[in-house]
Amino acid sequence: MSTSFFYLQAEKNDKNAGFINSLELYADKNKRQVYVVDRPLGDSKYAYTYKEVLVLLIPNHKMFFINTGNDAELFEDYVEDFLEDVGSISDKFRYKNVIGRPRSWRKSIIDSVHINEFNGDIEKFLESSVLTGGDVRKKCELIISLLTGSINDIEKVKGDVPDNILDKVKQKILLFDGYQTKFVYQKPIKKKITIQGLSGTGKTELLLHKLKEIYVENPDSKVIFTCHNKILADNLRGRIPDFFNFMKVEEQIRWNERLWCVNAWGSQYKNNSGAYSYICNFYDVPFLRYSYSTSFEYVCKKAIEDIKKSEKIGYAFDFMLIDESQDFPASFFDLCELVTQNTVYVAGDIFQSIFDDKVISEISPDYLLSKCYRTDPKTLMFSHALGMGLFETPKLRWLEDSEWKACGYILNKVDEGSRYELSREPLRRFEDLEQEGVSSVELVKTSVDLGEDAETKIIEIIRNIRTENPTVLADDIGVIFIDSTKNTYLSADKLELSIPREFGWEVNKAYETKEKIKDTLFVSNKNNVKGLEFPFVICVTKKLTSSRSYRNALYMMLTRSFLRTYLLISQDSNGALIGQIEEGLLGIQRSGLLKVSPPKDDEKQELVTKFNYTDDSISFYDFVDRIFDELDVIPIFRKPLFDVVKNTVGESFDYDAVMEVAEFNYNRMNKGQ
Amino acid sequence: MKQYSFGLDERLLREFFKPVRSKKDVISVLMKSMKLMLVGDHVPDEKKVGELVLMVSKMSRLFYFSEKKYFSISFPYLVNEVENGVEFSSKTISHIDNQITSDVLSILSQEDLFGTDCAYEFIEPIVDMENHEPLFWPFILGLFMHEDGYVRYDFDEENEDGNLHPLNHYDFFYSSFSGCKIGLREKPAKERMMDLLMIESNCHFFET
Repeated sequence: MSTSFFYLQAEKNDKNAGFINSLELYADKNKRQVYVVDRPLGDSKYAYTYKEVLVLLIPNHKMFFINTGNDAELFEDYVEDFLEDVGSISDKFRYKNVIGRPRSWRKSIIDSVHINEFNGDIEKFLESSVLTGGDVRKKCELIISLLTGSINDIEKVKGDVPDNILDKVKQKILLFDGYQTKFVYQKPIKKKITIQGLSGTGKTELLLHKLKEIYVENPDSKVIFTCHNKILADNLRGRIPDFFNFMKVEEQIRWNERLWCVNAWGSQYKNNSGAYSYICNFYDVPFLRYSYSTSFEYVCKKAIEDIKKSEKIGYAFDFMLIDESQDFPASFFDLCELVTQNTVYVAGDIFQSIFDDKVISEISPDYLLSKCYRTDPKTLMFSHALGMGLFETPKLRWLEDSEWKACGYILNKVDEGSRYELSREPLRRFEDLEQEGVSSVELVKTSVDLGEDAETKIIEIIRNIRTENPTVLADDIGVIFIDSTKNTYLSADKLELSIPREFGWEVNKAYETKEKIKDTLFVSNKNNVKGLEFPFVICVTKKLTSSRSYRNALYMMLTRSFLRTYLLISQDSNGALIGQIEEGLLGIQRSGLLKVSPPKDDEKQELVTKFNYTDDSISFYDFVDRIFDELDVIPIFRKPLFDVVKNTVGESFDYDAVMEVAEFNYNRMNKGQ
Repeated sequence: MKQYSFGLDERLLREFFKPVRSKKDVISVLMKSMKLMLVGDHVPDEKKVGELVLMVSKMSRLFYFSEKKYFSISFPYLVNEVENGVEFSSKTISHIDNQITSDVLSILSQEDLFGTDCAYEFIEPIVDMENHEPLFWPFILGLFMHEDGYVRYDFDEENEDGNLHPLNHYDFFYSSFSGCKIGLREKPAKERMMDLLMIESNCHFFET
């Protein structure tokens, strides 16, 4: 079993396995984030001599130090040392002014217990440790964020608990979930690690965290971070120094010596301009330049052949991180594996488009992120439904049960599968929205017959947003035109003139500037929105067409808001469809469920694509335990046999090696008995 | 000869009077001006602090007027009067609209556009544009190649230095390699600068 609500960074052993397993069950059952660690994550300098301790971290709960051994004195020392380190980490990230020194919060937030005190009923025990009061809960969350390396910008989240929904969501302390933490901190089990998720699941952010881990932990390593698109690579290169500063990384960034952040191809005469150009130069193999007849797939295959023949030995890089992997041919990954000594991390979208029907078949990512943290689950459900035409007949797209699950849906089949009730797990980020009954999607109809046009409606919406949210800023709003017609450019140019006059806000047309500019209102078409999110998004479209690229763009744009999406749509052009959509939206808002009837089998056949996922990311203990199950190892031998395996092969996920050592030694143990 | 006038408010004045130092800046001003004219913007009199004038004749020009500075660039397109305002066309593009002007601005915003040593890097975004605007290349090439005819009148109290840098002067050209000043005894009226630059009217003479 594996759940994104649980994260373990401590050695599982026979003393604590039962306890840890029940915590994992608790986390999954109650949809509550639970972390069990034995040291602060994110900096390897924090280590302790006493090993028999677990630190239990749950938002809104007291933080527990749990002694799993019998030495009370060493345990006390551990607690003191650990808290001293929390103090120093909080100082490093400037949290201290907000949360104070450990002595000021240890009484209200910290507790120490012996593992035996849990007596099996974890639920009851934890219910009695709930923290009350917004202030102490906030401190607790900030401490958890420090300990799990999920650092928040203290300037953004400091201050009193806000009284309005916009600031509440903006100031929400973001914590990595179990899968995200695992990706960042778990040692790789093989050479190529893939991570996939819907857009908005935080893949690029995780790659940046991974990059920081690698860069700091491996002082002399050569690391490259690459993606296909040059503008995106330029953008990432700009983000890395900011991110390293933010994470208080002390190591200097040595561009083009230790760290490269470039697009994949590059140019012939600039070795450091692309991953491929660097590789060609490193191995002294011919560089092929782009032409209409030279695909990237071909040049990578050719490079692999040439490198294998080349006399140059060694590796071009120690680590490689690849973003937007859906843009690449498979041969690029083969090339990357060939030239990288340690690990290649590959992150990409589950679907290049929700209509993808060829690329994703038979892919099993090592990490599948199914929780979209960018947008409220209800907005995501509505956007999927509108994108896939689920409110319409015939539908435009249907997913297999496993695919719905891979996209983070919980399935409930009603009436023998003739109806589906799809739902998503709630997210901490949006719990305030839920509590205050704020609707996260609003359909706004325009009618030329009534003398309305998109520009005046947009101005009206902005005026309403400002009235409802007095603290709203220009860069809290994004206006996105989904259609690509000449008219949309005229509308944007009109807004560029009218918005400053009406609200005193400057407008940034991102399709011209190619960037997000601080303190300006963002206006764009469906391009140049990659990776962006806004509290409020106004999506403008005239007619809902059935074109796949249009529907996919619609889905992508609607999910860019973390508070509310306005869908501005022409009443005149869409007729009865608007009624169906309104009804569908209302259903989601009322029940939190997307209720749909699946298409008939013959219809389905045409629409289905395959998406296969198996859960490979397990702890070393569980990995070895499964092998013990296969060998039928009796319980009494499991502990000593586990120790023998660990000491002989190390924490390696090499199935054959572990099996060989376990089998040989178990036979000996059995004979001895 | 025809003349179209558009009022400028504080914000537009700031936008258009950003320093012009390169061809890129001139093209940017030209595109933004065309957008303003295509929208047919109307600034209420009380907000008006400057003016944009399109002078159309055998040789057309754009003029920008603020209190202390004027400048002018040539306007390389045909102007057609339509019901709600004006439209523009070139030899290859029959309707220069709000989209193609944005396409040009997006090409200009690329970091290192003229600094790359790889021709492909330069041409790639232009080729991409041709997916929706088949004659984009001749259009942008025309912009890169056209002579912009930049002239500025400056009332420059800050840098005034006798006859070396007269208080009132014209600056011809924008780059430091080609630029030169012509001193003026007094601030010219807007019409005088327009008269200086239009070929239909009599020439002006230096009095030395």
